[in-house]
Amino acid sequence: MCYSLAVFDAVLPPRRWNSMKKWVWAGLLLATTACKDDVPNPEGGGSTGGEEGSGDDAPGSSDAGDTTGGPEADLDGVGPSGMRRLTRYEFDNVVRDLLGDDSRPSQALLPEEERAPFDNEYSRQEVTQPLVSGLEILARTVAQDFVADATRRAEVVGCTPAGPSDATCMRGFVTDFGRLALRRPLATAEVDELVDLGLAYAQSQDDFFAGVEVIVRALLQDGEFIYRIEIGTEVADAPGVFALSGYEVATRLSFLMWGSTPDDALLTAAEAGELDTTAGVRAMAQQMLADPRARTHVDRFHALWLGYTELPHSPALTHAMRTETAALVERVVFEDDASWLELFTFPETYLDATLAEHYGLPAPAGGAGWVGYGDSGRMGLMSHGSFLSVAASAADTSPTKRGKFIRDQVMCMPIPPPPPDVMADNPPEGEAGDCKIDRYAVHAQGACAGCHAQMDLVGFGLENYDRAGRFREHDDDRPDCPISGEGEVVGLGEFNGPAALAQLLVDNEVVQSCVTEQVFRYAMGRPMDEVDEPYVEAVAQGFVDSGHRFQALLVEMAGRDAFRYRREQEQP
Amino acid sequence: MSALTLSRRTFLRGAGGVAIGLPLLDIMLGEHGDALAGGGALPSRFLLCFGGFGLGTDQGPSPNNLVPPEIGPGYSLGPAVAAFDGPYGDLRSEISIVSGLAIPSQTTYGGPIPPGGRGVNFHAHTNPLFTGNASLVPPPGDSHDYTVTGVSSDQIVAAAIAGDTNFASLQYRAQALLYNSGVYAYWRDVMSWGLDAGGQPEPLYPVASPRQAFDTLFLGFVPDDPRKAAAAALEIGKRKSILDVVDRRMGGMVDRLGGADKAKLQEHLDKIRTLEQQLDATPPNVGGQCQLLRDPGPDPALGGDFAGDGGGVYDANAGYSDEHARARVFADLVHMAFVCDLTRVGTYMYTMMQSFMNVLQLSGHEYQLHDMTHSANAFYFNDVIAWHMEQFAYLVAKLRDTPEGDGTLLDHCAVGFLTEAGGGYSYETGAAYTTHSTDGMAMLVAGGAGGLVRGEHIVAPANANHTGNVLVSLMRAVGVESDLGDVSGHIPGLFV
Repeated sequence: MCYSLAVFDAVLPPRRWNSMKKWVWAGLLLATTACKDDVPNPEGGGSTGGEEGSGDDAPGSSDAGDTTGGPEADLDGVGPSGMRRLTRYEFDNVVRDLLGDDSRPSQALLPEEERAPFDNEYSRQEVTQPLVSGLEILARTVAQDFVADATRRAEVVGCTPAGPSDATCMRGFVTDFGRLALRRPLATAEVDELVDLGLAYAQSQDDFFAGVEVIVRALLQDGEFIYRIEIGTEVADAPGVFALSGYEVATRLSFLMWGSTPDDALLTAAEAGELDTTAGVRAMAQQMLADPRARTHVDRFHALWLGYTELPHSPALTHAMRTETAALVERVVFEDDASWLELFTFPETYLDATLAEHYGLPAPAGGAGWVGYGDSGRMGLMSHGSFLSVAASAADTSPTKRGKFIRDQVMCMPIPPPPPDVMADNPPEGEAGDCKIDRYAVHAQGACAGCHAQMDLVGFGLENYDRAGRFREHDDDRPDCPISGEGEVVGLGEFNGPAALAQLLVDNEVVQSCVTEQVFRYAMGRPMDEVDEPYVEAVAQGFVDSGHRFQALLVEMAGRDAFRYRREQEQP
Repeated sequence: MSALTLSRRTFLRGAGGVAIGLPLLDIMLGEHGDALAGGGALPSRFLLCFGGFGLGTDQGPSPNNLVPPEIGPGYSLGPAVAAFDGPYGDLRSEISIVSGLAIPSQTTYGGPIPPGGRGVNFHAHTNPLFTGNASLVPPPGDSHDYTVTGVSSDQIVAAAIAGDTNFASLQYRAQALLYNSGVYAYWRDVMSWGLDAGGQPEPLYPVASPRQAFDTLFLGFVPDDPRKAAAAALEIGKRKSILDVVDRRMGGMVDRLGGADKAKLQEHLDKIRTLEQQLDATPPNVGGQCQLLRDPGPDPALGGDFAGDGGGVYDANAGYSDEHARARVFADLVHMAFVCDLTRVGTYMYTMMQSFMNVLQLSGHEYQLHDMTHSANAFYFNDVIAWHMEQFAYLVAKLRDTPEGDGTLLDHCAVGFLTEAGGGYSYETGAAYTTHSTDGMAMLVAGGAGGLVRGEHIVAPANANHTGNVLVSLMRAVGVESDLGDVSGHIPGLFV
């Protein structure tokens, strides 16, 4: 709630869990620390939670007890988890999967999420009256649309009612649909309560589906539907650590892989105990990647992470840019199942004629297709209009914002907020007639220089690409101000242009380290904490061992003991 | 179940009782029309509107902005307030302009912040704007402190005058989205602050969906057509039965949780119970001026992010969700909520603080609002102010055109319009004029509650020139004598 705390979180340097390239992190940390004196100590203070518990060395006990069904679970690295509300994106996916509703109904009726960069951080999820009232209206809208659609309702209800008060059919529907909606089987008393509610309306309205409607409305507002609540069973000899139930693991898994709710098969697997071992979870995760929903979800992870979910362009250009980047993610991650690093080094890109012209690249044969970058100076995702459109300023690129964005998101090396005596709303003004690079010279002076070198030098290395990703030789409307495109990632080296920047970040193992932390954040709905280090370190190693395959990264994230346990949250 | 609802309504109507929650039908008023037949005075209403802008840009003050050159009545109208004598008739006799206002500022980084004041850095003065309390000095290394430490004027008023109205207060917002993803709102979207169960300030988030606002306000209405009335009663019954089950199940889950999860789910449950209370409230009785508004239908499509200006991207739906249409629906709802005495207190945010909304369709200029305040020609910025003023004129005219008692609904209202900024010296950069300033502010006041003066340009006296002094005056006008945080004292010139 408090701003200072939030910023404090954001400026914590990354944990040094990447043992492979410790010198890189050390160098970058040194640089960032120099950027500002009061950056919190990377090894300790400032963390808002998780400092107690497993800490550095495991407290000896790795015996998970009998409840887990798995031998010798590794409880080091088990982190806290809080109740997580379905985001609007998840809510819409869930009603699509449960009720066949493709209308994405929550977007208009529920308050928007704040993104940092992901939209699912549970500590940010405030309970407001507009949210709760919106959920009530949403439940009504979705349920009424559902019962008005004879095809959908027949499919979901699963039996043909013999009459309005067909209690057997109503009970069957509540049992089956309730299990899917709440992601666990309902107890008999729970079924009874909902059947009674439904039958009361079915009878009074002389319409079986009037009963179905009220049941759906009740379940779509249920605490266990709106929130993913994890309880689990406390592990003997490990106070404060809880083994998740198979259903709870199924839920974590399906929201990680699909951004949606477990289907019947997944719940059945949970019931059969197939998710009670890491091997079982791992196998299931691998299987789930074959579902088309995994592709959409992986695309969305990248879009949120790199900030291009929405672009400030015309609908046609926005669509073309989103299609371009989605095609690359799809090709690298799914079609080729290649090293995810190719996302940053791919020599071709997927264009339509409009986008080819926009970039000044050859048009693809046919309406749209893959085009080689040739010697254009472009390569991979960082050359895409989507990526280059992010973090612009009014009317032009902002080398500062671009650099900060790349530091914060792509490198996981957050830059601290501006010092109190800086008004950061406007770009530097400089003297009349100054070229842009001269205007920014003020950032290289005095106390500003430390931080701004971290940001501006990165941004100026991309300055030949305008805020829609078009190449330019000089400042806008200023042929007398040529752009050199020379940039530097302090601590890593100099570069010129997006291709060289991408190569620099890949060669120094920066992006591959960062993406692991970002996937963790998206998976768990919270920033990484010290307690998570053993888990994330193991996942990172697995990612490396797989040849940096993104599918493997997801499977690694799911296929660890830390994914099947939770640590009790600190009391507020 | 439905029979019960109908019989209660029939009973109330038959008894001709003056149950609070019923609209103010003429039959309920005393002979002179200025008091309820039961002896109570006609209720006063309090409304605070807000726009996320100042009175100029960094290029200078917008010439002839909403502050006229003349003091007193019959002031002249600059382009920003042209709507005060336009399609809604001459509103100069209704709307007062209070100029010479300021929120005092900290003058050096890390230095003291004056009572009711703000920090040097702009964009963090929710606290002084709405609660009258001083912003906190940012902790070392931080540029802003967004903490809100008090209760806003509307909530002080609601605690005093809401009575048994169905909604103790309403909060609406026309700007649909933040339009700047990846950035937290930090209360740029909230005007109303109450206290939570633990006595800590709590944001009361506005409803930004006209659809939701309409459903919440009007689903309790019982239409005249018997068939529609039966359907409405059935729907109310359904909602109650459903929420009853949801409530019971959620209560059981709360008992199983601990720590932060328990607190959060309890909060959710509390808000479910607020909904249940709203459904249990006596439905308003349609009649006279109190009418069920036409259903606004689905909300206008949401626009996407919007991160800049220029570049020919204004044909996109970026940064704009037809806020013009949304604002109209909310104004109609505020108006009817007052007419039907569903509430007596409201806040209405047209645009957020530091608004990132695309203003092309509202003003004809290719900018997002915040960028425009920093980089645009000050004269053009009048067009953005003018859009807000036209919206305000629309709402004031509706209140004026609604008969109530011997006079109009507006006679019983105290309405204010507050802006985010004024214009003046920059403690941030040392510039002589910036829109990042809370000097040179002005507010609009309308309504005749409590003897408010009608239609004058008033310059605030030096000893009462905080925007909070205007809010204290509006509070006084509806019978609430109270300080607002650090701010005390009303502006005598605002009263006849």
